[in-house]
Order: sequence, then structure tokens, then C-alpha cells
Amino acid sequence: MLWLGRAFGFREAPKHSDVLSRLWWRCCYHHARKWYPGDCVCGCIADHRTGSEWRFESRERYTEVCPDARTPLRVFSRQHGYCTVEHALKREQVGAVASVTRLEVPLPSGLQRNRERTGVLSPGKRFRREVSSSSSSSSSSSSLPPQSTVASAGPASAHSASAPSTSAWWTAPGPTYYDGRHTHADEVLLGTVLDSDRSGLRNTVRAFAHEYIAPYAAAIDEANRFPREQLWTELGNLGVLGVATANAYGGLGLGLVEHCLVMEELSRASPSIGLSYGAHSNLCMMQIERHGSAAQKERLLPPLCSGVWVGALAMSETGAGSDVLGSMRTSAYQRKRTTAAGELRSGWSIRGTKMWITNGPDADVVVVYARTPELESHSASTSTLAAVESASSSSLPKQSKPKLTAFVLETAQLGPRYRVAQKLDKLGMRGSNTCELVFDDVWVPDDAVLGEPGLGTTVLMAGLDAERLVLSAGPLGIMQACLDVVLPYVRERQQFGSPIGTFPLMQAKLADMYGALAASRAHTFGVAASVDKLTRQIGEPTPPASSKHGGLNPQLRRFRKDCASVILQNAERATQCALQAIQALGGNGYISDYPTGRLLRDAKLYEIGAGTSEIRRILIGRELYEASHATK
Amino acid sequence: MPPPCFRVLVGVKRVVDYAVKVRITPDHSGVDTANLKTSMNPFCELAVEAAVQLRERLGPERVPEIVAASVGPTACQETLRTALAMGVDRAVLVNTDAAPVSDSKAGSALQPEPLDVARTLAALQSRLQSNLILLGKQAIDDDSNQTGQLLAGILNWSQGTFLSKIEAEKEQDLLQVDREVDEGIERLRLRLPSVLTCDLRLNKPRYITLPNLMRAKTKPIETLSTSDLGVALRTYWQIVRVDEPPARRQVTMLKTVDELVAKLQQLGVLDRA
Repeated sequence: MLWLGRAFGFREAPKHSDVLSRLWWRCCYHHARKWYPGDCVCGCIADHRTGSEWRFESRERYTEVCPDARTPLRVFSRQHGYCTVEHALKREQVGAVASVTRLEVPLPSGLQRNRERTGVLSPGKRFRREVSSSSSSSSSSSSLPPQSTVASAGPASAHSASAPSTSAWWTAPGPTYYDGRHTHADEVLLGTVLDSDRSGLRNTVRAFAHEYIAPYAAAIDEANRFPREQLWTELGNLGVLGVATANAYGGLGLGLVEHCLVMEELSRASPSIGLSYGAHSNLCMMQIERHGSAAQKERLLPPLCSGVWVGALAMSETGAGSDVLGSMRTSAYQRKRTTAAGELRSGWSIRGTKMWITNGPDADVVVVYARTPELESHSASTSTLAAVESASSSSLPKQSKPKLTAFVLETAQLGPRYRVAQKLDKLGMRGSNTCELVFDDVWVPDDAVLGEPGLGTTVLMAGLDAERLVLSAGPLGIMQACLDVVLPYVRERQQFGSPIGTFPLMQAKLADMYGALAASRAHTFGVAASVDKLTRQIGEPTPPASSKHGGLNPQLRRFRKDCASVILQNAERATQCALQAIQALGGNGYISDYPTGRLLRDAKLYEIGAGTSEIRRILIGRELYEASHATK
Repeated sequence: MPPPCFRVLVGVKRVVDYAVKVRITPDHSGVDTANLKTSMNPFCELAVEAAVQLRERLGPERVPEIVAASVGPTACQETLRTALAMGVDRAVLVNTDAAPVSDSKAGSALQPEPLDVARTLAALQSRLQSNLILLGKQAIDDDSNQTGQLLAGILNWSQGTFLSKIEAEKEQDLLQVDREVDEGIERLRLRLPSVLTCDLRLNKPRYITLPNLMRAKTKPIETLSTSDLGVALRTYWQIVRVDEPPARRQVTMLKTVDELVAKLQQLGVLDRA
């Protein structure tokens, strides 16, 4: 493993040994493949805040600026032409600020120029790695594999190579259709959930999203690129990525209401950024927070909160969509493995593919569900699994009830057997990258298991309610964005000598859109506030995954139908709202100069992703039917 | 001798948000401000940002304290919270609820006038012992553009107005500032203590982050009354009448110059050829 590099002093020239060259290879491999999160033993630094990377001229220079060069290096932030380098004494302490020293390393001039040109949110320029043997005076460099070979050998290197080095697509801000100050249909919240703290939070997020996201929404859609370098660490700075994460891990420790408020404002500015935000902060981070061990949380949550890393959740497969539990083919088998240090470690080997993974191409952390058939054979009688949710599973024979295990993986450590297969070309939500992930016998140690082995179903189920609730604020933002476009338009556009907003048929559209938005907003935040209140009353939101209620408190369990009906209603209303918006704009609504077409394409996703409308209806109906049976 | 310290006082004003469309009251005595969204005056945001940037550049040793102050009703606390979230250490609210601006005619809805605000800030300065006062060049509600100049006069301090650049000189109590004047940029060197007022191109106020927003809740806001400072708010002005700007008249777009000439001749503006 990479962190074993600590064992080797780098003040003296590295000796040619198997282990060391493997280390070097891995390091280069990771750099060639993607931006590896920093702790690197060969003297190159990747800065995730800017997506940039540069090398020291020589190993001497490296040890000069870094007196304790055997410790891993990590670049955290960059201010005023300097980047701050933090040395974590141990890998486990990365993110623990108490135990680090800071050094200032001047940035390459290219980066500074770049920053000045485009202001605060300057896109960092990606620096190509150069072959080191010419500049590095280290005598051993010739004994290491040349990097060009490594780069071409890496299976996913094509991905990083294909990324254009310029950020021209980002530089021109487009028009925004709202003033960053107002929201329609606030009235339904004013007396209930929207106190001064929350409206302060919402105003803050809105002001940011209006200024830094909304002008680029069209460019993000057109380029179909995820603005990681430009936006993600800024969102981390803003504090929204960890809005529901505990303070101890760098989050704000707030509830679902705040999470929904943020999701809505981001989606209003750009629905695709909203979706990526949901996948990152809710699907991935909430699952880690809910089920992860203390060590996993300490390791993974701080960089996810700060936006240095991007998170994803991998559940669906090509053959396992609505029937995700019954049809899941990705499997994990217990395998022991000898590590580079020579010790025998037990772990799991994961095999299979995951499809339609939001944030997949960019993910540094992936929560993956896999079947563990080895656990199924001898545990059939003791199984206390929660009811399988999907509709078709009830028709399957009982003995085929699968046992899942959840894993949380750091993609940078998975090696070449993990790869991003292809970025998918989508109808909408362009810029929120989606891909297929391939696990070709990827070995992970035991500590990658999220929760307990064999209890992945409960992990999966426990996350779905919060997932539906938070994602349902996405269509809310889209509906708001529709009104943002339509209201000024109908005032300005004149036909028959008067603004079209004065025509009753057009006013009927406004009334329908407003009613849909107000109903959705009241519904969403009503449920969110109830769940929050109950969670606070209970205190401990997560009973152990092994408990019979499937990792959810039974009181919270009854909100399952409500969470599903919120997103069912919001998603369908948002699509209708976007259609109305197009109709209201007439010919202008149908062309791409106006955002209504994009809003429609984006809105449709919420009727499909995170459970189709059909599955949601079945779920709600079944919950209601079963509850009525229980009360009889 | 240690380098001189900047003890900064920033004045912030709560105004009706710039995005709000205001309405005149039916009796034409002023603007109806009831239930309108308010926020910090944008020029005051520039002043807060300038103070925070000064500390970032010089370090906390040379800028040991940044205090934000506002003169107005209790609702100004919200505005002061914004300043605290931007990086100000603590805030002082001079509450005018108990002793509103006395006016025989219009009642209590009046704002304190620039002269009294300047007097209040001067009294506050003697309490806080600040030696640098940063203000916005004007407020977007009354556009008076007086407080900074009056304050500098009351305190008999150096003043720099309409600033587009502020630089502190090393190891000295001197500031080098650029003023935006009609002829171009005027560069001044000021000796502390100074009153500075900020113009639009000075900086770009930072966005507030949620952690800072939550941290701001724990920072102290001291509330004083005008009598604590020995200031009485009075009216020196009499607002005769407030009207909306005249509505634009119906515009006709003409296609050619000939049409224009014909139209002007028809209206009697141009002589007929």
C-alpha cells in the first residue's frame, strides 16, 4: 500500500528494490490516472483545490522545503500565491489539524496568473506531469520505470488525457433569471420551518448559488462537464457539503430541513450541480456517517466535507434497477491477500459492474453494495433482514433472498482493477457526471466494509428515506427556477398590445405553477421538519444495522411512505411545471437561448433516478395497505 | 518600537435591499419600509471587506480588533450579524428604539440623520479608542454621502473618501489611498487616525460561508443607547414631499432618419425645410 512509503527515508537516494519501484509505480499510476489526493512519496503534489499538479525540480528541492520528507505530504489550500502544505504525521491523522506543521510553497507562476485573470473562482490549470529523469538529479531515477510507459499502461489514463487543458467553457458567465434575493411561495414556510437562522442560511446559499453557479448553468449543461475544479472546493468552503455531517468531522451538524434548503437553492441555480451535491452529501456522506466506523468517518468525512474529495454511491446495475436487491450481480468474496509489506490481510474481492453512477467518473469515495453469496448459504435460518422493498422480489422464491454487504472504497487505492468504464451521455442533468463502474476482482481490506458484513440490505434501506427526502428538494428548485424565468417574461412579452401576463390563459399557467410549487414546498419541508424533530427526540438516529427494524428506528420507519410521496409528487410536478414554462415562453421556450428546455430535461430525471415513479407508487400503496391491515 | 496598530471601527447601515422595488407612502412623506427585505448597505459591505482584508494582509498583531457599529433599531442586529460573519470580531448596536428621532410632524419612522450618526460614531470612537474608521461612501437609501466627511470633521482626523485602494505602509502609521475623482485617480498619503469611505471598485465583498455564519452567532453584540453616548437624535432636515420618479412616456421606435425628421417637424422641434 502506498502509505508504507513512510517506512523508507527519502533523504537518501531511493534504492532500487522491488517494493520501492512498486511504490513509485503506484504513485505515478495514480497521478496518471486521476488526481490523487496528495500524500505522495515521489515529490509531486496534487492540489485538489485547483485540480493542479506540479513537481519540485528535484528531490533535493523537495527535501529542502519539506524537512521531514518521509512523512506524507498533503496540500490543503492555496492563498495569495502560496499553497499551504500540511504534513500529517500518520495517514490516520490526515485532517486532524492538531498534529500537522505548515509550510508555504510558492505556486508556479502559471497558477497565479490564472487566478488573477478570473477572480475568486479561478479555474486551476492542470499541469501535465513531465518525465522527471532530466530534471531530477536523483541517481536512482533511471532505475525506476519511465513514466510515459506507466501513463499509457494505466487502463484509465485515457480519461485524464482526454480532459482538455483549458477551461474556456467556464469563463463566460451567462444570464441569470432571478435576483438572488427572493423566492416565490415562501408564505407556506414563514410561520413554520423558516425561522431567522434558517432564512439566514438559505440567503447565504442563495447568494452564493446566484453569483457563482447560476451564470454557468448553461455552460455546464452544454459542455457536459462537472466543474470540480471551479466549484467543488468552493462549495466545501461555503460549508454546504457537510451541512448534515457532525461538527467533529468538519460538518455543520444540521438537520434535513437545512439539507433540503441547500439542495433547493443549488438546484434552482443549476439542477445538475444540485444532483451531484445530493449524491455527494446525502447518498455518500450520510451513509458513511450513519453506518461507518469511527475510523472510517475520521478518514473519509473531512475531505468530503471540504470538497477535496467527491463522493458517490453505487447501487444500480444494468440488470438491477428497480429490483436492485433481487437482481444484483456484483458480488464480493472473502479473500486473504499478502500485502506489499509481507503481512497476510483478510479482505474482500469485489467483482461486477455498477451502472448510472452519479459522480462516478470523479469519485474519490464510493459506497458500493455487493452480494456476498458466501454469507447466504449458512445464514438462511437466522436471517432477520428487513422486508425487501422492491415489488418483484416478493414473487421470487424465499430462499433466493440475497445477502448484501456495503463497502466504502477510496478509489485511489483500488488499483487498476477498478475502472471508470464510460461516461454516459444523458438527456438532462448534463454536467453531473454519470458512468459505469467496473470492479474486476478488486481486493479491499476488511476495514472497507460499511456496517457489518451481510447486513448491506439494512444499510441500503436505511439510507433510502433520507435520500428521497433530500433529493425531492431538487425538483423544488427546478419549479422555482421555472417561475424565475416565466414571471419576468410574461410581463415583458407583449402581444395584441399588452403584456401576455395580463391574459387569463397565461395567468392560469402561473396559478398552476405557483400552486404546484407551494404545495411541494409545504409538503417537503413539513416532512423534513417532522423527521428532524423526531430524530432529535429520539436522540440516537441509528440503531445498529443488525436490529430487526433494518437500521431505522420504528418511529422513523413510518415516514418511509411520506418520503416516497414527497419525491413522487415533486418530481412529477416539476416536469409539468417545466412543460408549462416552455409553453408560456412559446417559441422562445423551445430554443436553447432560454433555460426552460434544460429545466425540462433536468426535471425528468427525478421521475427516474432514486427510484422510478412507478416503484414509489407501489411502495406507498403497499405501506398504506400493510398499515391498514395492522390497525384492524 | 512595535509597528503601529490599526484599531478598526466599521460603520454599517441597514437599508432596504437593493433588489426591492419600493413604494411611496400615500401621504408622500417617505418610502413605505414596512415588511420589506433589508440588508447591509452595499457600500458598507465594501468597508467591512476592506477591514477584514487589512487584517489578512497585516496580520492580527497590527490589526488587533475590528468592531462593527450600527445606529438604528433592534432589527439592525441582523445587519451586524452579517458583518460578524464576514470576519468582524464584535459589534456594537446603538439602539434608537428607546429614543427615536424626535420630530414634530412625521413621527418615529425617521432615520437618524448623518450629522447625528457622525456624532454617535465619534462618541463611540472615544469609547473604543479606534484609530481607523471605515465607512461606505454613502447609503443607497438616502444617498446622503455625508457621514464620513462630517465624522472626520468632528474628530479632526485625516479623511480619505471614495477610495478604490487602501494600502498600509510598513512600520509606519501611514496609509496610502487612491481616491476616485472626476479627473482620474488621486493618490493620498494619510496619517492615522483616519476616516475612510469606500467606493465600488475597492474590493469585492466575500461571500459568507455557513460555518462563519454559525460562528457569528456566538460573537458578542453590545447594545448601547444614544443616551449612553450622550447623543440626542434630532431632525435638521424637513422632508417636504417624496415622489416617484416620473414614469417613462410611451416610446415610438422609428425606423429611418427621414421618419425622425418628419416627426420632429410635426412636433415643431425642427423647422420645416
